[in-house]
Amino acid sequence: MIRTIIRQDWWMIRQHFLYKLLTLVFGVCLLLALWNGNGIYQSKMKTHAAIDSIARQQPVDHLQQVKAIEETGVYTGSPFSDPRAPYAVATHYAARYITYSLHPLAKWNTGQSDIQATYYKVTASKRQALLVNEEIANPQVQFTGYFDIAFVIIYLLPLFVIGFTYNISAQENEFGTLRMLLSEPVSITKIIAVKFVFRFLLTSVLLWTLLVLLALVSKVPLHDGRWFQFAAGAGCYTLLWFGVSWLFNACSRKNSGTTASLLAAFWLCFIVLVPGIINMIATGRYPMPSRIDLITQTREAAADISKKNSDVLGKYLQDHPELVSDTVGMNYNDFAVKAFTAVVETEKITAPLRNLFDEQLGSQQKIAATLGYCSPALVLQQSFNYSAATHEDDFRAFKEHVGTFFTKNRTFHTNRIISQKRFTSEELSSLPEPGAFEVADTKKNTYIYFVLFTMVCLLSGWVLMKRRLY
Amino acid sequence: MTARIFRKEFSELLQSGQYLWSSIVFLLLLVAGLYNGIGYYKVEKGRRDLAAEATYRQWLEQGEKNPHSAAHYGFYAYKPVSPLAVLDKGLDDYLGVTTWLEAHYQNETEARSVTDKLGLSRFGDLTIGLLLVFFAPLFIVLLGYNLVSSEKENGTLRMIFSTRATSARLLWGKSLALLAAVAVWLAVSLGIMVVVLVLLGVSLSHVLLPVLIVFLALLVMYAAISAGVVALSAQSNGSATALVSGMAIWMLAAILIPRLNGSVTERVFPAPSAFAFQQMIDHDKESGVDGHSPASERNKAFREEVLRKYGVDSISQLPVNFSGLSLQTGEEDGNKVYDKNYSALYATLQQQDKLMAGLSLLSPLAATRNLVFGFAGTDLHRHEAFVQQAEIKRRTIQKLLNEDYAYGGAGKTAYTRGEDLWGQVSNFRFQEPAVSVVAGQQVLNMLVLMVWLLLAGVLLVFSAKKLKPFSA
Repeated sequence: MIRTIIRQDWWMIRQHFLYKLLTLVFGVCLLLALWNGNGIYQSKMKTHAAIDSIARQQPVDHLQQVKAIEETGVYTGSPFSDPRAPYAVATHYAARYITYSLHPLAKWNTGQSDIQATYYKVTASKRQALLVNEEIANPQVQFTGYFDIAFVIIYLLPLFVIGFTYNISAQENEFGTLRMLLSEPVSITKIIAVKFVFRFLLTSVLLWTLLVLLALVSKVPLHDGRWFQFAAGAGCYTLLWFGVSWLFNACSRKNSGTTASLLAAFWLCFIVLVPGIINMIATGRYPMPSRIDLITQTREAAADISKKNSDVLGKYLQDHPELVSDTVGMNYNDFAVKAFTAVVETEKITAPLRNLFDEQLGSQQKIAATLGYCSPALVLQQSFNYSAATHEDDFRAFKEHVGTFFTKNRTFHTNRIISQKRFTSEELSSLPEPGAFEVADTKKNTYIYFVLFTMVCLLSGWVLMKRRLY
Repeated sequence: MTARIFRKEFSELLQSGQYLWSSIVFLLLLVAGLYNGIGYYKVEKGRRDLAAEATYRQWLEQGEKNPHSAAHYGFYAYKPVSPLAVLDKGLDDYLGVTTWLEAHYQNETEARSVTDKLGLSRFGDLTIGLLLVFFAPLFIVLLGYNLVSSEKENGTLRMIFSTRATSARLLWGKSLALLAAVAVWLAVSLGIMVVVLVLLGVSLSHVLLPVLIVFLALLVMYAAISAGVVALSAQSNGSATALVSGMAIWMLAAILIPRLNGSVTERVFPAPSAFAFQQMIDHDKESGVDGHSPASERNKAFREEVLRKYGVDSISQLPVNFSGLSLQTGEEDGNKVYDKNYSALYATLQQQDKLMAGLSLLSPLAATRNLVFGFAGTDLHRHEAFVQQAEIKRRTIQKLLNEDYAYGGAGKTAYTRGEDLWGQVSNFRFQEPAVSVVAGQQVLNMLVLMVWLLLAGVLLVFSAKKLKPFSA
């Protein structure tokens, strides 16, 4: 009997224009998304390659310049541009570049990579210089979001499932074949269930085949676990939507329009409305401080410090006793010494406000992580972002990596500026170098959530179906 | 007859359970949107006003120093938040709000709040604009999908045709009734918003005209959608088909097409990366905007020109301070470099915007959204106006300080000035673009809306011709 139901359903699917159209639209959307995601990824990789090339060349050029001066013993340029001068080295010659290695899955899921910096230029100057290094992009495009594969799966796959299943239960009533089916020895619930399982398997085969093909075309590695996490997330999400559709098919078994309305309302609610409400709650409970306030506070602190500048170097030396033993040549009135010690002191004062950004964001994230379970779309988005290494956590870790190097680099150069010792060519090899940033392989097991959600829908739907209201 | 049909349909719609529930949901969303909008406006206005005062105070109180040191200290220009951000904060989160006006550099705007937000914020904030532009059309679909199909299903269409009513009058009457039902929500939403703005201290004359234009634009969009939904209802075999088709078209217009537009646009007209942009600026500063005038040669030529002009052999003999003159020339060279590169960048962004506006022919919702952002003062055009005005201010400040240094600091080794000079620089005040200027920027979006209205009208006429008594 099951075979007969499947055979008939398969015949019906092949005959129905809507299903062919849906499959075609879904496939075209995936291809468009890949074309688009690939373009964004390639553009970033091109920029990273240019940066890496400069990052390799810069120390070589610096060394050559210093060696040339040492050989001739002549330097005629400005003292502010002397490649041996600690201040010039700190602010210009020893600039180091750090790039974030994007995983090829970023072609499928832009995530936060369009908003967060994927490369930094680090010098020993102000910390603010790290924050303004933002990518140029049309704000309207960023606001709307990118048309990538993650978008197609999160937003459009449910619509595909809705279009494929909204009338499974009601069509028998609408086509007038219900009475005939009721006369058969098989229960109507079983017929609907078989159709659902068959259509789910059909959709899953289609989805997994497409995801494998897209991975091969876009050179996304299939073996490192990230692709599987992505594909499994998409698979579980499909299962969930079949579960939801099963539930609403059970709720409204006589009118496919009502089923479609309920499914569309669910889609609208859990994909569009709920994330906005969660965001409202999280930001309302833990509001972000403003970067504007940070600018004002930084300038207030800097102004106060400049009024009592002579104390600042003393304070710095208190924090760095290793410098006190060699105070010969120290010049308290040197421009660079004053500037650097003042910046260090300013940052100490503004540290609580700067730290508040991370604290508030962390608190918001905790709320979002808990309430996020109200929206399957949000759970899947987080899972996709982790698997493609484009999650805000990944970029925060990257920023911390840059920050750690920045602190180490600045301490080194500030001490050197205070000691007023010029660099020799031999010493250049001892300049601080940033290590490569390793992206964490975060695995979020969201499958249980999707399966549980589906189970609840299936059981509720089963109970409703069994009430046999035909 | 059309008026009678309109009255009957309008009255039935207002009394229906569907309209009641839709109104309740709409009102709840309106309250949430209003709450978000007011909160955003109040907090941002307070912050930016305070910061603008603080930065100017810091500028005045920076103490005695060389004018060029003061030029480097500079101050921040803050973009004021638009009062109509209450309607929709649009692109505000994605645009910086302040720029540092300092010597030598046209700095990028800073403090984009999106970089301090969670990934979930990418799903979008609930605003009145979102409600009116994206959700209201869905409500139109839900209220109107069965206006004609139910007449067919219930067999009442033949009865209607037995009266003096023609199919055209029937469809026009029903479309107008649907439009009027939604227009009530629109008027209530914008009315409440204007009252709230006035209570917040915003001048009514400041917001009335943009709100009226937004009202008319939304009305045009609703008219097009109402006519489209009624035509769809008349063409469909049944109410279920009309509903599913209507919702599919809404999802296409509200979700898919706007996103596709943006992504395609960015691929067709790619903007340079921040890194590449900075490299171009550095290159032009070093080689000159023509690419053949190295900075060292330009400096040498300028020095010779100044010596020749004053008829002296060395800088020490000059009756002016050479550093001040040189700094101003450096600024002017730098200005040319920034003008060239920023013009090219904004030209690319404008090409993107035009293509996006053109592609919004595929979705009236995308065109209306752009239009609402424009009149709400939360779009890229207003931001560009801010960037331009801030840059003009920066250049004015640099000229004043460099000239003071050049002509006041002649022969002095340590030339310093104080608050009397700093006070000659006024605080930055952003001049809001006139409504006529904004309207000029939105012509394409307005045309798109008119095209959609026309298309919907044609569709309605076509549907009326096909609707016969025997289709009941």
